[in-house]
Amino acid sequence: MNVEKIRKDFPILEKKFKGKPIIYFDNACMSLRPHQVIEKMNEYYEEYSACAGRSVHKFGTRVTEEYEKARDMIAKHIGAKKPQEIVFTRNTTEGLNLVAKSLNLNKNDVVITSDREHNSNLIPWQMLKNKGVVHKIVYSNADMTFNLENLKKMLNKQVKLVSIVHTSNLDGYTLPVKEIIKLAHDNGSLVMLDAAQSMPHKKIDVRKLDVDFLAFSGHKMLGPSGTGVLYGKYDLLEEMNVFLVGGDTIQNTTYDSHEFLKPPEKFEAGLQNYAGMIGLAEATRYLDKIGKDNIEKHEIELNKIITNGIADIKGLKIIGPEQPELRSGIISFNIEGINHHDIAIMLDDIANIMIRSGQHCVHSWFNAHKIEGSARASLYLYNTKEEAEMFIHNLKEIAKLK
Amino acid sequence: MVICIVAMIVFAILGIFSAKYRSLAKEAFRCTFNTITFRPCETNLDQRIRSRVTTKLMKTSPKIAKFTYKNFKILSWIFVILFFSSMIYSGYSIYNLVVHGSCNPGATCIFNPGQPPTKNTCVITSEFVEFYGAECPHCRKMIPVVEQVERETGVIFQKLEIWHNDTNRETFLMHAESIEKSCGFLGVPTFYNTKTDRAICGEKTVEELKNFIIKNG
Repeated sequence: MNVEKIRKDFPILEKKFKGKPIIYFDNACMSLRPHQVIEKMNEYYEEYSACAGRSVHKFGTRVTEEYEKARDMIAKHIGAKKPQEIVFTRNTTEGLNLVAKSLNLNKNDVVITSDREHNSNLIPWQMLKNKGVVHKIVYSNADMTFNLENLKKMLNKQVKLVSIVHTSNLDGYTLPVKEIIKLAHDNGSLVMLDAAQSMPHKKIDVRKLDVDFLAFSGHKMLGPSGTGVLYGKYDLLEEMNVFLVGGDTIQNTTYDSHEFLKPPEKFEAGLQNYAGMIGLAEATRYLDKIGKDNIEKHEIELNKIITNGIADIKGLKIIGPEQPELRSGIISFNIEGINHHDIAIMLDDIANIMIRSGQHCVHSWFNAHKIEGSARASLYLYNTKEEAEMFIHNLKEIAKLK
Repeated sequence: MVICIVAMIVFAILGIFSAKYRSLAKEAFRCTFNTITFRPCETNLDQRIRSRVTTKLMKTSPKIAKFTYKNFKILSWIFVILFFSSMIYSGYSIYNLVVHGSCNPGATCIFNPGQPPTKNTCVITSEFVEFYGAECPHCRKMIPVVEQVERETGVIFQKLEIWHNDTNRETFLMHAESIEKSCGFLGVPTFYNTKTDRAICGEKTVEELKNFIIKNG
């Protein structure tokens, strides 16, 4: 993998502040975009910006063609059986909400999540309490690895769904989803994966995993913001209730009746984000060309450099497993005596190093562990060893303040 | 945090000239409001100020940066107190400048805009002044009277010669309006109080001069 060549594809990396280049380490929140994706989106606006699936003119035909091609590309990218299993959403949050609202969950049905879920995979289930749905949490081991035994003990006939994060945005740890899915399926429960943090960095094959639902976002994987995908097994999508209704979604209506379309259109209400989805498909093409395995390897390599480099900082604590290879491209940490927000502001101020600070939308975990928040550096394919070393150097300077 | 109060005032003033600071001023206002109602500042403005100040100092002296980072709360309190006290003094001085023509009447004047030092109105350093002319016979007659009054009351008249000394004449003329109001004419000797702007003119008895001091002291 030629990082220098890859960097040339990202126009934003040429930006300088106060004469210094930027070091973008906030990829778990939002990735940068290569010019290929930007140009593909612009192509829509400049060459065929019309409605898909409705108008019969030249533009309408072209956009329908490109849009369905995008669906096909994304289906192939994740190994779906057919493109109809790909529901376009705005983001992972919408995908998770869609399943929470549309899956037939009834009183006393149990939904299990992990103890480090993003709010998007927590609140939708908490909200179902009104319907009598029970939300349960499977707790991790002390070293933050997943406890399969705990899950095993919780599985019973009431458990209808295990909705679980694939790679945690809190610490970068990837849960043993293959085993989780096997256990859940043996119990007759469905499994949904929040793949927002895994899809950008890992090769995922939904059929090999045999996962029932999987949601991810475009903006973390070189795609446009406001794009997301919900994958669902076709027969499950067919059985599910509608989510938002209106434009599209509908086969036919009379003044007092309506007939819904089949999936995925039945879930895609209103005019869609054509440019966005076409851009997202281009992002998957870009990622496939480089190879996600290479990306994952590169990130772990950088994570090792950073983890080893900052290990001797006094009072530094990394959240999650000790071994960098278990934390993908995420280093979530605290330095005793220095506030995490201060670390982020100072890194940005001194060396244009952009990291995230706060609770990363996993408030529940931080509250349970009585930790105020953390500073989080997250890596991607365009980050370099030099950048990692700059990060280590500057973090050490900041650590001297305590 | 308390630093937001200063930020609010500074950004509000800068906001008059630049839109960039207007949003910062609004942010500082929200932060100040939270501070005075004992809630944390939601916008992290205080934190941003602390971190930015620290990084600036890190470039010059890591030791000072460390000290500042650790003691930022105390330092910002000191800064706020200094800020407000200097603001109060400035306001007071501007008031004096407008009312008395001097930013600090009766003491050394630091601020005296637009006038060269020879025309400095700050030549008056005490509350009671006697304007006189060197060859003026009335003034000469008043010397023992003034001496006696000074001895008995403890009040010392600052004596300014105005026939030969240009600076003193300028000072005298600056107060001409008030003197004329009290005496009906301009001349020497004139006994003048800088606080009440009242005067008595001409040869006076010990009693008259003492009464002037009592009424204006």
